[in-house]
Order: sequence, then structure tokens, then C-alpha cells
Amino acid sequence: MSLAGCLGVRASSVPTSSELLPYNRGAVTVRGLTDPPGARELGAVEASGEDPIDALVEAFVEQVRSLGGNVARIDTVTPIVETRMRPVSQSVPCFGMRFQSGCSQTYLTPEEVPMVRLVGRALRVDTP
Amino acid sequence: MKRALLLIASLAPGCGTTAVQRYLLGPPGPPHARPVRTILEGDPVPPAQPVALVHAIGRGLNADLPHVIEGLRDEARRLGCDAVVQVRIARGAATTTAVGFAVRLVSHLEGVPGAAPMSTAPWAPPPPLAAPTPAASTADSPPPWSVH
Repeated sequence: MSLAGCLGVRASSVPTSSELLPYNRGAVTVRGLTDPPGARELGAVEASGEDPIDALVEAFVEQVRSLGGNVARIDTVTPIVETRMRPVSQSVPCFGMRFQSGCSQTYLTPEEVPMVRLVGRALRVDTP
Repeated sequence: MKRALLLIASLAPGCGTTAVQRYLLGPPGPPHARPVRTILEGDPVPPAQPVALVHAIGRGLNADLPHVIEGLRDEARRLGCDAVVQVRIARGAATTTAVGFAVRLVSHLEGVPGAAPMSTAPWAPPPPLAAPTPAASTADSPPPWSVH
């Protein structure tokens, strides 16, 4: 299993076939809804994150490449609204102090982050 | 007065946003103004050519189903698509998000440049499941729910 990604995207894959192929530096086609004819499954792939959907699909494709696939088949796309606690700093009056600049407090506030999870497969189609 | 201004500000259209992202899976078609079908995850998908993965995020006053679904449909129209299929929705307190595949239905693909070869038969819903065949052995009694 491999893990990859930047701050906003996490992606992983696991081979499901005994066929172990080298990293694919060629083109990868992204497909949804249907498998291409004659495709062999190489592994399962997932990617999730809050980045733009382009970055998410690119992370998914990178995992497909690592399994040697040339078709990235997206089976399901799941939206997620994740709640995180975000620190917020706020200036407050400095009671009892001569200089009132520099008094602040930090508190946590809930923040909803829309995310997407892609689940699918790495496929290989041999071109004649 | 101050409260009234705050109320007006909270109801103003600017307090809600709908953002739409897409990832192209195929060549888009010319934009149109026709209605776009929405097919939720789990419902049968007619034969179709995927054009893009579309993602709509509604925030504030737009964090509801109508706004995110309309966001997906608007993007589908811009891409010349007829439907958004496999639509899934997630809802939070102040954010609603929906994703799906914008597709051109096979029955609408005639004359579209770059479209894949297709069948000319119009899409029809799948036939209902066939009734189970009667058991070969007569020793089995019919199930209590069978109708004769």
C-alpha cells in the first residue's frame, strides 16, 4: 500500500492482482460510470481531501500510475462535510493595564470544511 | 435600527454562495438552456457518456439542496450535458455539498462532435426482474407468498 499527497489531499492504493507492473509514465485516462472493454484490474485506489477537485483527481491518477495502470476508474464519489475546530484570535480590552495594545485571546470555533472522497480502481488496457 | 440592518444584511443575497468545480472526463458540448435531469446515487443510470465530474458547494443561505442541485445543473448546461447522475449530497449546519457526473445521454448524442458511437435506440428503464422459475422438484411446497 502506498500513501501520497500534499496538505489537503490524501490518497492511497493497494494492489488486488498478482500482476505487478512498473510505474506508468505514460498517459492515464480517467473514466466514470463504465469500464473500458478488455480492462484488467490492478488495484483499489482512493483519494480524499478538501482541495479543488482537479488536485484530488490528480492524486487519484498518481496512485493509478504507481500500480502501473493506464485507466483511472472512479467508482464512487462521496461528498463529506467535516467539522474542524479553528483557532481564532480576538483583541480584548486589557483591564487594569496601562497599555491596552497587545491584549488578545484565542479560542476555538467550529468550521465546516467540504471534502470529497474518490474510490475506484486502477485498470490496465493493452493498446494494440 | 441596528438590529434591522443586521437582519437585512443577513437576508441579502450576498450572504449565501454557491461554488462549482469540475473535472473534465470528455469533450464538452455547446452550452444550452434545456432542462437537466438529476439522477441520485442508486437510481438506474441510462446509457450515457460522462463529460465531467462536478462538485457544488453551497454556503450560508445557499447551504441547501435546491442551490447545490441547481449549481450542478447549471454546470451541466454549460458543458452541454443532459443529466447529472450518481448525485450524492452531504449537509452540515452551514455548508451543503453535492457531487455527480455530468453526462450526455446516449439518446441525445446524435450530431454532437466528438461523441462516441452510440445506439440509436432510446433509453428505456430496465425491465422488471423476472419471476423466479418454479422448482423442478414437485416435492417442494410453494412459498406462502406465491400467487396461483
